[in-house]
Amino acid sequence: MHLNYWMWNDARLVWGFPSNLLYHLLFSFFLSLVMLVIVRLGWPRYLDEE
Amino acid sequence: MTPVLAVIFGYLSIVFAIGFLGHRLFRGTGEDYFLASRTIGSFVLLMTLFGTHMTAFTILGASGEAHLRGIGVFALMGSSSALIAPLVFYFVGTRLWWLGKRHGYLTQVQFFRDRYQSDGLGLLLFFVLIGLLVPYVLIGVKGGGDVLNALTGGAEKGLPNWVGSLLMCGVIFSYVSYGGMRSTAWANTFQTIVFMTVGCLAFYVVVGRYGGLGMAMETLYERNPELVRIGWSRQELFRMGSYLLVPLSAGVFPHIFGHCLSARSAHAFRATIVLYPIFIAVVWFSSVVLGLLGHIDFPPPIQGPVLVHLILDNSGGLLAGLLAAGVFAAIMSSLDSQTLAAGTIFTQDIVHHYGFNDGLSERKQVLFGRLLALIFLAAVFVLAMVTSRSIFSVGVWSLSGFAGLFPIVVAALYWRRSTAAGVIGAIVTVGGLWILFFLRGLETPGEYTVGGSGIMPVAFLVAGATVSIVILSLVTRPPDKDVVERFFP
Repeated sequence: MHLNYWMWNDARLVWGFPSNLLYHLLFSFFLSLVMLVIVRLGWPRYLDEE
Repeated sequence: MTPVLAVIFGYLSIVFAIGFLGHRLFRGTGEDYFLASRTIGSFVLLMTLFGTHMTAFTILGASGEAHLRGIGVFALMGSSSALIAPLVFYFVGTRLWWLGKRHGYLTQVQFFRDRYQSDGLGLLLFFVLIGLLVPYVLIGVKGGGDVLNALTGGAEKGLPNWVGSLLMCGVIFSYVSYGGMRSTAWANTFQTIVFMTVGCLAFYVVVGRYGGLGMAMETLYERNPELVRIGWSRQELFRMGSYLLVPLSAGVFPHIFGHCLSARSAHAFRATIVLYPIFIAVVWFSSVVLGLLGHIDFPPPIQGPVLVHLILDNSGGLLAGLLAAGVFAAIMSSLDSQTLAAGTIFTQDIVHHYGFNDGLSERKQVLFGRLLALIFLAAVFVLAMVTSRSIFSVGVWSLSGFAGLFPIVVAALYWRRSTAAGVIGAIVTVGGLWILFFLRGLETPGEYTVGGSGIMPVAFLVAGATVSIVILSLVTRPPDKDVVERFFP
């Protein structure tokens, strides 16, 4: 998803943002959600044991 | 005194005061000076890790690179960091914290020396870490001088570059040496708030002057459409793909390591892991867009950082001072942690271990930590005055070297079968390749990629380290099981 090469030649503006810049901005926000899920569901138990 | 200088002095005074406040909780021990007795909570950990990670490279380098190359910089270093850095904290940061607390480590070298039962490995790692840290610290010291010079009138009328660099180094040394990690973390928290707030303010003001983001981008699109797209080519694909490895450096930086070990609990990392991508997006987006907009009125080539031209052109007096303080905050929040880290590893890994056979008193550890931080900072200051490479290029070389060492961290944490010979081989491989690529880079105008392929040297460093550690570990005697089990849950 980070290497969105299929749209690298796209110079259109979407809501005032260059499309590629908007894509990577939204991708970063999406990553935050992914990290939330990882932290909630995949937190190693041993870290909290001591 | 001009408004710019007044605001900068005001900002430096607040940082100074926060640093001194941190000293009030100082317990007088080495562990307290170097790691704040491992008491840093979620909020301060997030702010200090982020402030430490974001440097002059982010603020000045990214805007400068966007000014020249366009929006691709955001994907190249911004969103790639948003993807990689939180994963590094999740897989590496928390595990290092766990091991540090369990075995009482203060530095990476202590961990590696104990993990592989090898003094030679520890010593080799020490020299490599310091060798890579110096150019990274140079970025900050040079950046501070460049910004103050440009904001006070430029090459002819402004304050000499050394004044800004010296001022910044002086303030940093005062609070780092006085309050250690606690003062550093508190000051970083304030600095991160300042540079994020001021970054948003700069974005708002500058974009407003161009009639809003949409209008500014329309102007740019009409004049320089190549700046608002990444532009597909095989080389760009290789370049972007290999740059994805650069943020692995976060798992190897000695200054990030110190902050990870200072956490109160593993739980304290959760906010950092979740919010890091958003923080990165906010800072890099502002920085990249400002660099792009600079192209409208200040097309390259220009003298000095593009951000400074924008600040001076679009705001005056108090606001210019605030924006300057924001740049200073971004630079100082990394430089202070790097200075503390340098003092810590010189004290613990050389003086304490070799000079006093690990028998240095707590008071003397603190004393040496302060003294060696001063010597390190003074040496870097002198170096900064005699070097001239651009901020972005120096930064990438340093980051690439750190990232190249990432496989040894992963092996130490997750691969029981890895051996000291494997790790030493990997470090030597990375060192050799780094020097080779660096020398080739000096002969190449512009950005160096291996054989002109688009692949950044970092890809070969990571691959070389991985291959070396795997092969050499498998052909050497397995490590003692009793030793290894101490490092696994």
